[in-house]
Amino acid sequence: MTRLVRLVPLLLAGCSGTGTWTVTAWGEEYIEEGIPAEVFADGCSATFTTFDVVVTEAALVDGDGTEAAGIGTPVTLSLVEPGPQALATLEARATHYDEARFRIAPDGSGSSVRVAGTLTCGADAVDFDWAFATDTVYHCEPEDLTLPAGGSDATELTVHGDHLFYDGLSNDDAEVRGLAWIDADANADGTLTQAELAAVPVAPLGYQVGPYAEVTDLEAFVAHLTQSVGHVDGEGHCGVDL
Amino acid sequence: MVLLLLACVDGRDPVVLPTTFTGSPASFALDSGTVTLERAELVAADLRLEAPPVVAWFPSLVASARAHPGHEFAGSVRGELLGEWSLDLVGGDQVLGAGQGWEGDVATARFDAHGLILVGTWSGPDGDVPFDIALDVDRSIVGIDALLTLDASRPDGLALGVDLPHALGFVEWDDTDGDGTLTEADGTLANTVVFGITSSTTWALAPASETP
Repeated sequence: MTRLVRLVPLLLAGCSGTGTWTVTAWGEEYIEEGIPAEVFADGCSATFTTFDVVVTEAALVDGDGTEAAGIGTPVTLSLVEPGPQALATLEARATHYDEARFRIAPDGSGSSVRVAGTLTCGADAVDFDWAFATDTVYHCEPEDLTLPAGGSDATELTVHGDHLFYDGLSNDDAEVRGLAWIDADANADGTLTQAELAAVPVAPLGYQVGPYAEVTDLEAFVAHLTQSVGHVDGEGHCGVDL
Repeated sequence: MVLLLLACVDGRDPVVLPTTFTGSPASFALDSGTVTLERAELVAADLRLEAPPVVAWFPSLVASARAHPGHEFAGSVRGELLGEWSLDLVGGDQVLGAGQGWEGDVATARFDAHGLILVGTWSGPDGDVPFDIALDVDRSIVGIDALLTLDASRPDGLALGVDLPHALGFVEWDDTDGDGTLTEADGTLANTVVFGITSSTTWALAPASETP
């Protein structure tokens, strides 16, 4: 049945012509406005002043795995800016596409994900300003991505800021927590550095790393979580190459 | 129900999955000392085998708070052995039962972990310290490596194993309350035990024919 449904737009699209693929990116309210306390299992809350991602690849991939269209140069997106932001507008052969592929990676020697903001837990708060050089390819399957000849379709790279605070890397019962970050501010100066994060072993926190036994400190843990922020069209999951 | 649907849609042949569990050695050395276990038991339930993942799309019916961390989105349930068992983590082969599956590839496995009991002696730099730990883990252990293919024409069993030296290698053996016995009340001992026991790489699932 699924295959039949997918054939219909193919037939409608015909065998010739091109269509327009419009790509946007959005950090949703969690990045633009903040993550409220009801989202955190331990009553913390967070706001971001910076949430930049470097998109080095945004590509339309057909059923044969061939890239039909893609951006030529990396784009740095500031997701604290309101609303979905234009990432690319590309022309491609009019047909149905199986995959939208995104890569969030450093452009040269810089970072791929940079986040800054404030985490507040009761009377305690820490500011953070971190940069990660993680390299992640997201293989996403939009629900029905079809470019009709002379027409257009759109895909949104949706970035979930709350994922940075998960207490598990793989378990689907992971919760959003912040207290461990507060406690990690070793010199209690109100600023949590990446070095302070790196000094905190994960095992005593009760966090879970699943198959990633090499993730032993909180800095590596958060870096790993930066590789799970990418989604498609809201809640669509994407397979990931780390 | 999920299995039933999978079978109907795919037209796959059913496969019976006799499943055993084998424990770890009761005594082993870690970097910081030696663990000798007199008793190690875990209440486990509902072992499921998962096919390789496909990219899933979830309609935006809920806000962004949906819990979906990680990258290893499990595929369809390819087989399951439902029930609850008290695993002797330092025992020999233990029969868990015969599960049901359907032909095809398996990538990962998962089960639920509940009560954990560890009794024994920790021999560290400062001498021997007994431990008596009782914890309600109450978490799912997901993403267990289980690369195998279920084939009705070549029936095989499943062997679940545990690597306690890996699991307990994370433990902080500090008698913080100074009562002479390490328990779940000592500092971060409970968290580090749970961390190790729920680590996917503590567990492995393999065809019985490939298990020595």
